[in-house]
Amino acid sequence: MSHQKKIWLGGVGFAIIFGLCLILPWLFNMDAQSVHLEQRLLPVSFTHLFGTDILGRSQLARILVGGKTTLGLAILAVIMTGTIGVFMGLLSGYCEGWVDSLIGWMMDTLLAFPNMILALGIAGMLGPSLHNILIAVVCVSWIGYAKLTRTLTHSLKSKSYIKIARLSGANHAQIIYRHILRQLVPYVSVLMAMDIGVMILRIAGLSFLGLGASALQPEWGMMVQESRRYMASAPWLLLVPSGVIFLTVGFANLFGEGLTERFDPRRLEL
Amino acid sequence: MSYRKQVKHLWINGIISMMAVLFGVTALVFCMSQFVRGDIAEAVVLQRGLEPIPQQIELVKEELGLNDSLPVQYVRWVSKALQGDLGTSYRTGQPVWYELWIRFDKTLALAFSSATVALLVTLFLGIGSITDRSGMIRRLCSVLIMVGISIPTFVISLGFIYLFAIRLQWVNVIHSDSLGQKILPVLTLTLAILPASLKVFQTSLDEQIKQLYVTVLKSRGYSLHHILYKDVLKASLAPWLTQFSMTLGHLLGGSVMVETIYGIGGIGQFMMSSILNRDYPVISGYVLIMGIIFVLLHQLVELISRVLYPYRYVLKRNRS
Repeated sequence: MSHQKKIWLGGVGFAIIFGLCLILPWLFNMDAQSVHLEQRLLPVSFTHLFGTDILGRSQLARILVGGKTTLGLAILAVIMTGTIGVFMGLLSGYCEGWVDSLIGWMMDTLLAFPNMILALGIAGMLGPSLHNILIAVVCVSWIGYAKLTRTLTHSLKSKSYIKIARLSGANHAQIIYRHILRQLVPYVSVLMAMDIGVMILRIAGLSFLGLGASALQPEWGMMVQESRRYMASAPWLLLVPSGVIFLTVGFANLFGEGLTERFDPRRLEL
Repeated sequence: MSYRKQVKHLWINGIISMMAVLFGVTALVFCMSQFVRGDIAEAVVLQRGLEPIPQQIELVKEELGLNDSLPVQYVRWVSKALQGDLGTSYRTGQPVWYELWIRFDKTLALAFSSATVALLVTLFLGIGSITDRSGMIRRLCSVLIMVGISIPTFVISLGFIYLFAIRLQWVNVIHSDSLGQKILPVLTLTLAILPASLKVFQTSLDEQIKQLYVTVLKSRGYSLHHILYKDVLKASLAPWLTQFSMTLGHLLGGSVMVETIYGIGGIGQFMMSSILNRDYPVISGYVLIMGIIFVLLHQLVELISRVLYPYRYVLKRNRS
């Protein structure tokens, strides 16, 4: 597959899924919480497109509303990690000296833990909630951006045009914004695109383990967890959310991979 | 600088940075336990069967030294941890160290067998994608990588259980000492770590095979297999080896999920139940031990890599 195709297929697919999750519940006033005990565990049919769960709630509505939560959190997490990471990377790359050593040490420390374990520990200490999942995931994921930004800033800083800009009277803020930050955009956006899928997996994973813990707000990972008990009698409860997670993450990864091939970091010269 | 001096320099730097990271790891875990200071005192009060009124909690806080300044508390905590005292589990009343130790073998066995299977499959598929002329294996690999990185571990596990235990009834996942109960977790964990390891290995193989020395050796009449097994393989395992410590992290993290789903009874599952029961000493003890194990493993891999590929390290310094 060419990278053009990957970008289009992945981007459009992901956008459609996210768009449906945002628009449909609002358009049709779907209620993910309305309980119909007389319609428990109905299989997939035309009236119940994705079947119903143990309380007779529509699986379709829950998937869509849950998608808003999962994907919204994932996108928010990517934006937050990107911002924090780039800021830290710029700081350590541009300032050098002890600031650089300090941030470098922080990153080495955080990298010393397996990602998932640290996220689990933080989320576990803070207590189960979707907020805390977000905090935990952001805490462990910003390092990738910081490392990239730091390396790029280092090599950009030694370029002669930056020295000339400095000599012509540009202040640090101008140099950072105009000559460094703008150069970073393609790299950082590629990394962010690659990260959306990873974030969805991490958030859904932590929530699957029970760290999201909010029965009122459906979330994809939690839905898979809930379906476990009815796996033998109601397999659609397992298959639908699993399939949706797989499809969404697949699209996101395809998009990210296409972008990586398009702006191959090794091909772009610095 | 002479070669010997450079190597010595690298060693010293490596040890210093490892010490700094170990300090950071303990500091981080200590900070994490600061989130829940009040809860710890309350839990201890409840454990002693006393009324959790503010005065009691304040008393226990004073007794445990939770009102001392943070550096004092940190030093006390680290010196205790160095003596193997990570606190007591609220649930079982046993030392955290002991609780983790008796469950460690199961996690280790699971991780070790998955790593072995993943290693063999990676080697097989990686070499296959170079030698196979029809390109079938290469296509299989790219599908495997694409699907593998998009599918969550818990979906693989539940899918396996549904398919093999419920539909086909080949294995019995409920009976705890059957072989099937062990094959599925190993397979799941293997699939979870395979894509990353395969991708790195394949990329570095592809890079090596394009090198000039391969062309030279080929033109001198050596067969592709000969070059592959004698030179290319060793060279392309270098980036993979560095990546392998990351893979081990995936293994440890993934094992929490897999253990919880299949009910292995290792430390991952224990950690998960501790989180859900707010058993804070276990949580921080687990994170600390995992962090330290991971740092040491990382250093070990680095060490092996340095012994096997000294030129990668020294040349890098010369260039900069």
